[in-house]
Amino acid sequence: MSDLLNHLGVDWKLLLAQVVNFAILAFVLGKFAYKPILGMLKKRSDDIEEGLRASEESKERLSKTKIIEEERILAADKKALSMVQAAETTAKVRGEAIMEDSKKKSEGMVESAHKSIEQERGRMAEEVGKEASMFVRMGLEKVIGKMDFNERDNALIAEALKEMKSASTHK
Amino acid sequence: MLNIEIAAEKLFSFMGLPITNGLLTSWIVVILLVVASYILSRNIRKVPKMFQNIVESGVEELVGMMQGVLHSRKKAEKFFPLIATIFTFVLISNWLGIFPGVGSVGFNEVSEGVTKFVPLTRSAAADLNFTLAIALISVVMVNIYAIRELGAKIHFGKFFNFKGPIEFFVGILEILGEFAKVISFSFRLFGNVFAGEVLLIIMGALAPFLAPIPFLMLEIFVGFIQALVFSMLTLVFLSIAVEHEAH
Repeated sequence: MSDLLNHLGVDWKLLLAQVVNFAILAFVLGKFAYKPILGMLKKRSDDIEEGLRASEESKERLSKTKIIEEERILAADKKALSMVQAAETTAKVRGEAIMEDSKKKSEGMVESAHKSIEQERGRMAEEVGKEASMFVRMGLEKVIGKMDFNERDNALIAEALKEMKSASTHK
Repeated sequence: MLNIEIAAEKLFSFMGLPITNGLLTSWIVVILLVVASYILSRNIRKVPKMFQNIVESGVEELVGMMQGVLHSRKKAEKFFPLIATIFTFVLISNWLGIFPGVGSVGFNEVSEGVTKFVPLTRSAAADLNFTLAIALISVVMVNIYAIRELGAKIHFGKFFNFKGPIEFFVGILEILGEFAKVISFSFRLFGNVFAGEVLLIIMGALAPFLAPIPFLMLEIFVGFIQALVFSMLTLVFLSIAVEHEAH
């Protein structure tokens, strides 16, 4: 057995040296290669998983946000429509009230204008009457002294009429 | 006349330790791997570059393969250092063995009136000390892991079973099996690599140009396969040992 081992070159010292070689290699590779590489692979795998999870979450959140957004838009549309409708109704009511008010005001104004016209007309007629009588009196005063009674009366009347006519023409 | 030695040739002695060409190659492999792993650890990045990419693919592939055998990523990562070191050490030793200069650069030594060529380096696995050492480590580590997983009582109960004569005999066979594993491990790798070395030497001597190329390709393949076989067998033994009594 010993001869066979010697013939094959087996030497316990060399065997031990090779064991030490392997131990050194296992230690160094474990520390500098396997640990960092396996750690990096795990970290990368975790990062990818985390990324995928985050992406899924984002997608879910986005779809939820879209739903909420659509719901809000719909609600806003409804609200806007109801506001517009309310505004229209209010505007209609207020328009009618304003129209009614304006109508009343304009009627009042027309009525007061009529009244003031009537008053003015009355005042003017009165003044015209006053002026006419004054002119008649003035004409009479001029003519009366010159004529006999009958002739004077006729002439006065004609004169008075003529004066009145001319007074009204001057006026 | 070609000089083919089964035993690794002694180059010199250092403090009583015979330094053989096989041991020297083994040291070169260790230095290469230590330097490579140090460079890798200094340049490790989240977004990997060329070298890190290659290593990561290899690691991922091996862990995946181990996961297939052990059915657990956690266990695969736990046993990864042992399996990966065996695989890497054997693979790089085998591939370095077919490098130009390995086995062909050396010196002539006159021993007992006969001049013989002593190569400075030789494929590490073509030295039985190397394969035997790794085989011993493999078998011992399998037993250590089994004790850690199952406990010493359950694990050794597999070898020393006194429940009945059949169980006792099976226990003895289990003990013999452990030694057989060491022998089969070491001689399988040694035989393959040594045979490959001899084949390359003979082919190189017969037809030095072009003819050895297919054999070199074959040795690259054999080197990979042997590394894989060694590490996968260790893994299978490990898998059986840590789950044997659990069922």
